Amino acid sequence: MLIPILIAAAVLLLLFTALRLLYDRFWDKGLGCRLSFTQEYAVEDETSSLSEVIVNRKLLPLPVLEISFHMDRRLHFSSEENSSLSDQSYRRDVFTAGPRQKITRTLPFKCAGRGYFRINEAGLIAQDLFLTRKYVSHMPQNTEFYVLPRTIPAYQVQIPYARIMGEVLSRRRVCDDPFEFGGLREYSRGDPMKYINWKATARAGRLLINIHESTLSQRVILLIDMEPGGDFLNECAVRLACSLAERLLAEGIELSLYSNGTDTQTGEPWLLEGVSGSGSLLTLKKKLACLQTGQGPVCSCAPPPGDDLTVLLSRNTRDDLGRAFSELVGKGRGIRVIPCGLGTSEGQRGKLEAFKNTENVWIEF
Amino acid sequence: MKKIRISKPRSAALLALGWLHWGLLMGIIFAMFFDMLYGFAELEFMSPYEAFFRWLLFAVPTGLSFLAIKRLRTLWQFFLADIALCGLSWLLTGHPGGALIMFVMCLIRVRSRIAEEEQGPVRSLFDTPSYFGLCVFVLLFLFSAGVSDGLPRLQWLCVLGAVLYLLVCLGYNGLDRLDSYLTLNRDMYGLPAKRIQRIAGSALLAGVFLAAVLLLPMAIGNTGFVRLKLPEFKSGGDPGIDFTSPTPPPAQPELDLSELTGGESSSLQIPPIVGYIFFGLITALLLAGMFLAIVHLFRDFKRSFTDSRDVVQYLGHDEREQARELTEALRRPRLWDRSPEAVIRRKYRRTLLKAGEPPERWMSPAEAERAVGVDVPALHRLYEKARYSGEQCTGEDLKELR
Repeated sequence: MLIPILIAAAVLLLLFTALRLLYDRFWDKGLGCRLSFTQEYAVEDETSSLSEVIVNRKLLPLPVLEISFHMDRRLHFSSEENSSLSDQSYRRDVFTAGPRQKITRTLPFKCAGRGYFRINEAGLIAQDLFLTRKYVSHMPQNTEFYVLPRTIPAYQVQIPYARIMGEVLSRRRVCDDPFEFGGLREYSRGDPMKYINWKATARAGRLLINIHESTLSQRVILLIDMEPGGDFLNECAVRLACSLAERLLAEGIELSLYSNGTDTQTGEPWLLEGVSGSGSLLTLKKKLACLQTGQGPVCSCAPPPGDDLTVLLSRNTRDDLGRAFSELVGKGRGIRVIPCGLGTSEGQRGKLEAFKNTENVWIEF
Repeated sequence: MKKIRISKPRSAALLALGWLHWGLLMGIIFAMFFDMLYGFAELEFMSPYEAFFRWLLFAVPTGLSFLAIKRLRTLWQFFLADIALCGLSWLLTGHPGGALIMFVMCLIRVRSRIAEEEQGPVRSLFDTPSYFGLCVFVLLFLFSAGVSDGLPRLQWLCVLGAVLYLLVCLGYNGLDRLDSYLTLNRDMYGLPAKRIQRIAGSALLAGVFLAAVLLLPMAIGNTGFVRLKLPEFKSGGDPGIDFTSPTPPPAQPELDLSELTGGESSSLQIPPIVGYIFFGLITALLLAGMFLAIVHLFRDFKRSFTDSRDVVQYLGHDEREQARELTEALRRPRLWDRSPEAVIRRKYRRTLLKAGEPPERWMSPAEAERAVGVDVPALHRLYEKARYSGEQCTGEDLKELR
């Protein structure tokens, strides 16, 4: 009497075991997971999104499929309840993948801070049909995202920009190129006789002289101090560098940027040499996104500038930095831009040692 | 009064299954009690069948006592309810034992509630079925087989009760796992709770249904009897236990429905044809229900829809081909694929695996070879042709490989 019941029970057990074996063997077959940022870059405080795509190409359904990955805290997901925060944000999302289904989920996030972000790996945890067993795996990912530094409002950047351009223009005036015709103007006392355009003078009936453009390569060196300890002011220095670079590139001036910080992507000392033209602006901003704090004196990171104008952006007001900067500039000319807290510049201004070849500009944030 | 919410059908089903387990356990214990009274003292207050099925109804006051202890704020209110529940239990079970058990249960529930206030939620044995409960049925089965004249009616009920209890346990544990997972992650944004419930719930339902279809008819139709014959003690003899199965039962344990409806005094006789039609209709309805459920389920899988923030697409043939690249990293040449490309790829894979650790998935062929220290330019070139080139590999390539 009991044998048929026992056989039936054994059949049930066998079916259950077979299903379990099926899942053990094939749970990850035809299963794909791709995490990708929907944009390549965004500016600080903007919103972007991350796309999670799950593909289950087999007939076995996965009632529970958890995708987890690590993300930097500077990207704030709007649904923070799925994230746990430590030094990084650990995010976990649950999906249900039916047979032959593709599921796309888009997670909006806010770019709270500048940086370069990359997702290398996603963890997968699936469960079988009766939720009795967990299967764990991981899948390599390859997606990256830049949060570019935001530019500083024009009124804040106006003063250093005007001074930098003043310096640049004064050099141009000294080094005119006689073969680059720039226009005509009336003769004034002190102008060299050789610049008088006699034909134009004869036509106009008054003395006119040629104006020449400069063909000298105009180069500005930006030094960004990323000494650890002052995150907010360091960020202000980077934003300031970005704003200045944007305007200088638009003016056709070649830039070289150096810093004592390191590159997040490569882990090597950060530098960007010989950038020119507005087309290079995005590359420059991406490079600035990768700049992180580092050790060492900033002035030792740059080569001697020669005649080029050097601009140091540093929150540090130490005398040794000023001295080192003055020595670096040598016979040239340098501008030291000091980002500081609101209302603090007046108190510190008097304490700062003055050097002949450098000029100090305070910018309050 | 406190409000406890059993708004979800899932929670309600869990509670109902929990109470049913207690009804089953009480049913078999009291069936044994009445069968023993009849077997040993020839006193038949109630047939074991009637006792079993009436004690199944004990699940109702068990559930009501659970609700009462959760909802009633003060102890005196609960004791008033307790009196009513004792009365109801007596009425349903037809025996004062029902009232007594209910009274004891209420006392234990009060104690649990006090403990709950101090230590947090306490899981009560009355509301939580466990596979260990099957031991009760097994023990009673062995007992019914071991007594001198045997208790065939109890044995039949033990088998039926064990099957029912197993189904209850399967359903409860499956549902509990599902409920625990969904409760644990209920605050998770975008949790596809409905879809998880639909897939895992359908699987569970199908599993329990299959178990019921396989086991219940055999348990109900079971007419045999197992006698466990203990050997008499003989000096120098083997003191082992002799199982004989099956042996002719002393009394055929046929379920007589008239016992449940008042014995021979009942004049209601159901013609067999009505029974066949009734069971036929039930079976047809069940099959139709299953068919519709399967069709509904698969139709859901085969359409594209948006659920919360998820865009769910069914992958047709073309889409599957497009999505192949997502799972490309997992793909190997098919076992039955004997094309030159597959042969070259297999050879390449074997060479790399022999040389060292499996390379990472993100590595290009050149990187993978460098990582394991393989330097076979011909193999590298042929692999790249087989894997990435639009050109077909030829027999010449295979010859070159050899």
